[in-house]
Amino acid sequence: MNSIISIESLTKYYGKFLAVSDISFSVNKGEIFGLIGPNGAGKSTTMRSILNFIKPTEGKITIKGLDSQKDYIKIRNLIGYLPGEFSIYDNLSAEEYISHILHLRNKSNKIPNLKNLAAMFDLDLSKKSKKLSKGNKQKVGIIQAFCHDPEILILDEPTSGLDPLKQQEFEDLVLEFKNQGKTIFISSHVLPEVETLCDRVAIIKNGQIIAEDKMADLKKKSINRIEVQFSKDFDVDKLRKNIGISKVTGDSNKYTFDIEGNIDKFIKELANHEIENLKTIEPDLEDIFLSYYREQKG
Amino acid sequence: MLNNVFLKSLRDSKNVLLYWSIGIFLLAIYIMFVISEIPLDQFQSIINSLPDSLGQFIAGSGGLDLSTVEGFLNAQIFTIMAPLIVIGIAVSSSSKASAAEENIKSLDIILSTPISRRRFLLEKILSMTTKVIFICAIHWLSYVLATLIFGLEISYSKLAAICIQLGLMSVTFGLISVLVGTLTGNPSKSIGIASIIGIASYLIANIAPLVDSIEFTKFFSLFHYYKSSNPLANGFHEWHWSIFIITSLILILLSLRFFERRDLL
Repeated sequence: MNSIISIESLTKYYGKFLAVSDISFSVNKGEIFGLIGPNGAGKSTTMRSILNFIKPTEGKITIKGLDSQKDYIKIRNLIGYLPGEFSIYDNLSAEEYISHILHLRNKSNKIPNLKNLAAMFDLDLSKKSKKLSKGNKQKVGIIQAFCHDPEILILDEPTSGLDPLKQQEFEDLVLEFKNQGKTIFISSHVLPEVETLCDRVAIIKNGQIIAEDKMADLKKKSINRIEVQFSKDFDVDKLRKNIGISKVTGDSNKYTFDIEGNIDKFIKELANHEIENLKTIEPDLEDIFLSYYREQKG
Repeated sequence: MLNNVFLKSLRDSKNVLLYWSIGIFLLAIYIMFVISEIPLDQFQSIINSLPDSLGQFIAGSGGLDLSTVEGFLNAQIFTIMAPLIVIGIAVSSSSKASAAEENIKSLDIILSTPISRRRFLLEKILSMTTKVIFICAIHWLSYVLATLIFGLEISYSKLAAICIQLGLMSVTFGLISVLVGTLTGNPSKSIGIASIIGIASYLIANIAPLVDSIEFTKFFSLFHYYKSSNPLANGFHEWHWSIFIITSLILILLSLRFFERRDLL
């Protein structure tokens, strides 16, 4: 695979506080890569290091082989960026603001993409920024990141403030960019968004990458959620003693079991009981996330 | 005017500069009307009865001279009023150089474009300097026009001399604000610290010459290099300007160094 963003042994201290500890991963060409974790886990520090806003204490970041600290001007020509806290000048309209940013990028503000994107997000470009709602400001942020047709997109919590309909538009836009062979790096704590979009994800916790895998494989490796309806009342505590079950919900004769790892022992145990119905439920990313967290704590 | 950081910064201040220009012109008209109406000689005889030290405290080391148009302007305008306006504009603009942009998080997108931190800061400094030059030019033009309107005489070159020294001093205070902004990323500190240094500098320049044992401290005051040579009476000082240039260059270099190395959180 052709690595576009490469992070090698990135460590960042703020004074004595360790924000990011020896993390390494890469994002490949044409891939949507997600960095997920709760607030304060180190997502923004990682993203801001890529853009050379933050100087790594140790480690190296390269974008298309260019060093993030030495070649940052060349890198910024390749990138569209949406920060976690996006802010625009109150005295400018959305169009004036985007025009200003495009000028700084040495691009014309006559880019056809601009009008299309504004129409897609139902955004009135002539409105002064101070009159825009949080969601509309976020749309301006998304549009300025996409409109100059960058090769690489770095998006920090991109759907913050967007209504569900516009979140869908955003996801379509990201997928369209991916289909054009572009590379997208998203950080988020909105797990369903990552689940829908990303090819691969890394889970970051306390500044460390605790898991990195293909979205599909990550789901497989995590918990198995099985819903079982027994023919008669079932002693779930006895089953708990015999095998490792992370979570059980339900009562009487219908239970949902979360089983980490191999389910062979669980199935064999079930074979001793009369079962009316059994179905497997695909875990969502939140379950995967919590599962990894529990594993780490353990 | 949105083609670059420099023009955008000027655009943001166009209304402020317009209002200040009108205010400065009206003030000039008012002052010149007063000068044309009062007998300056009689006024000065009252001043002469005051102790010299009081005159120095009020009008600086040159003392209080209200017998001429230059002296009156010196005491009434260029000792406090004009420095307050021009330094205020310089410091306010400078706090927006990096600190305010960092504070409201608008800096992230600007620096995600192919603009280096160095270029961004230099364009902001250039914008602040342009605003200061403009306001100093408005001061000069307003007093020239006002003297013409009321038939008073004043040396245009000496008026230019004090306006230039005022501009140089104000830019230097602006650069102190830029430096604090690049160090802290905090616009309040950027304005506050530069203002405190400005007030201290004004007081030192006026008080130090009154007491022999602390007179040497005047050399640490930017106000001393601005006005102690009395440019309105004596013209452009031969080397005082260089103090502002050297201090400004040092402040620019330090600001660039800190801004380029600091983490932008």
